[in-house]
Amino acid sequence: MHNKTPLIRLSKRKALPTSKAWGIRLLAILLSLVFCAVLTMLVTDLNPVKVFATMFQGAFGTVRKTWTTGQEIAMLLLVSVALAPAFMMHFWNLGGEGQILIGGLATAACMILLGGKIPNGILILVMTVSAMAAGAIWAFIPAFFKAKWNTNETLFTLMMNYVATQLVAYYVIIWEVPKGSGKIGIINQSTEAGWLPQIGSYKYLLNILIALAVTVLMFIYMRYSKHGYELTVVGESERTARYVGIKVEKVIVRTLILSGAVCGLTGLLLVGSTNHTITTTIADNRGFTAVMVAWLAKFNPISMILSSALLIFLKRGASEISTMYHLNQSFGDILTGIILFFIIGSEFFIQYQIHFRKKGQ
Amino acid sequence: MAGISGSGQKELLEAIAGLQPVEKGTVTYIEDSGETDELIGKDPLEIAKLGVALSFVPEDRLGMGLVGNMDLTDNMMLRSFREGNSVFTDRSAPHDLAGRVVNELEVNTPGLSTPVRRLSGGNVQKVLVGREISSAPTVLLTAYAVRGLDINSSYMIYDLINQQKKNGVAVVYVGEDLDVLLELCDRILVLCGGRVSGIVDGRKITKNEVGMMMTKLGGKQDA
Repeated sequence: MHNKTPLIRLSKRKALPTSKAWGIRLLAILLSLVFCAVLTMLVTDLNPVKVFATMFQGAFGTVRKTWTTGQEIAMLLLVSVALAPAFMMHFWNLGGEGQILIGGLATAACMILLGGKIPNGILILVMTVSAMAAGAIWAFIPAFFKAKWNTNETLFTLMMNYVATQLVAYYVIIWEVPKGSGKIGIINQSTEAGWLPQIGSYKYLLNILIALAVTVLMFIYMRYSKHGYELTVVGESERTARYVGIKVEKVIVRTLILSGAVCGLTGLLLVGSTNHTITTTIADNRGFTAVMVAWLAKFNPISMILSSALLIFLKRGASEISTMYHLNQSFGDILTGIILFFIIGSEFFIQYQIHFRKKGQ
Repeated sequence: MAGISGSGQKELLEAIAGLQPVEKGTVTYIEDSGETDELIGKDPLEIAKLGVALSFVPEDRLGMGLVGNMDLTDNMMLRSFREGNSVFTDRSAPHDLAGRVVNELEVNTPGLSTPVRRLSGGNVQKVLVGREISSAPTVLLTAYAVRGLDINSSYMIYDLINQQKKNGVAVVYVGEDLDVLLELCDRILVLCGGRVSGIVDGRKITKNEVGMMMTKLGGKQDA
């Protein structure tokens, strides 16, 4: 009686073929849609198919919406790609938010202080360099302390976010237009000095192209370069890295400078290309959403295209549902949560196999 | 090198390889030409360049020397990835090396792109020792190379070490099995409680004497 094998037991799978792994993921998404549909019917009496259609409409309904979705995906992708090498090295850079802000602040400073004083081409160059340098410095500080005294990078990078937010708040007051409004408003609206060029009539195309190019470059850097190999070894086992003569401190600092610089680049695009202004909320939590994007993609920059697209699609779809059906804002978030839960949960079934007790065992 | 586990074997080897800070003493490397080099103060990379290879098999087997989640090819690259001026890594040579090690040491693996973590302990050790030997060291430091291995794999590793000796490589072998030490070694350094208990001739000494030295400095019995 007591010697029976357990009713349900788990075993770790051997490597699963890619097609099968994707089959499981697809099945998880379908299941989550069914689950969402049932919930929608029970709670709201709406036709679930219509609700899903609305979600799709929200993201891709009009040409303008599609471009905005593309731009949002590109910005989230860029931040995620920035975090990728740090995460691969098991350095939990939660400071994306601050690194974007400080990059944006550097951009805005150049636009305000130098706009109209130097040729536009040079201005944009100065903006790019200073935004990337600012982001890099913001990431360098916690990396240096980690390398030198092994401080906790998670807390340190988080704290740097608050410093960056307050800095931006300070300069917003200094540069506010008109005085007393508490806002900077559109910078150089009449001269458009320091505005990044627009490709054709597509406002967001430049951002999207830059994000894709950086993604591909980062993939090559991480997969095929010696630096990429070193940071992977450091992430997997610091002792092994030291033992083969890799200078761990140098790798940590170098990788974080890269990570921060790409975050700073995101700040440049957000301020110089998308918004032409800066606020304390310009990073819009991308630094944190990117953490999820990076994990979903298992730190692979190319897969991040998919996972950032998924998250943005869900976000925009969810907000469309709440406005269209006058539902509580939270209902869209509930659906998003369910879908994400299924997708993340499917990774478990890719790793493990479930065995049920057979008769007579 | 003999001694009860934890008597300082690991620390001594790490000091030679430049991984442990040294308080006092010297480590001298004498080249065939008679030139000498002081190893203390050099970093691990410089020491490795002189041809000193450390293959240390720790208790958890993977903690040092190998990266569990990387495949065989990438692990072979750990020693050699810096070669060449290119920014990019060259995976073809390590891939061939991985193939050779798998063939010669009869490593049981589904393929060269299998993460090392998925291999059994013995096969992991063969990969590690195989890589260290392939770098053609002049000094091979190896600790617990047969820890947890079956008898067949153990003898294969002993053969490898003996071959290295025949090729003129200076081998420092830390072992637990005294019978094996007496068979393999020319000289045995016995450690006891972090101190050198004595250096003896492996061909003349008996197991009992080494055992006594392991438990007591100098090995002399009290009256």
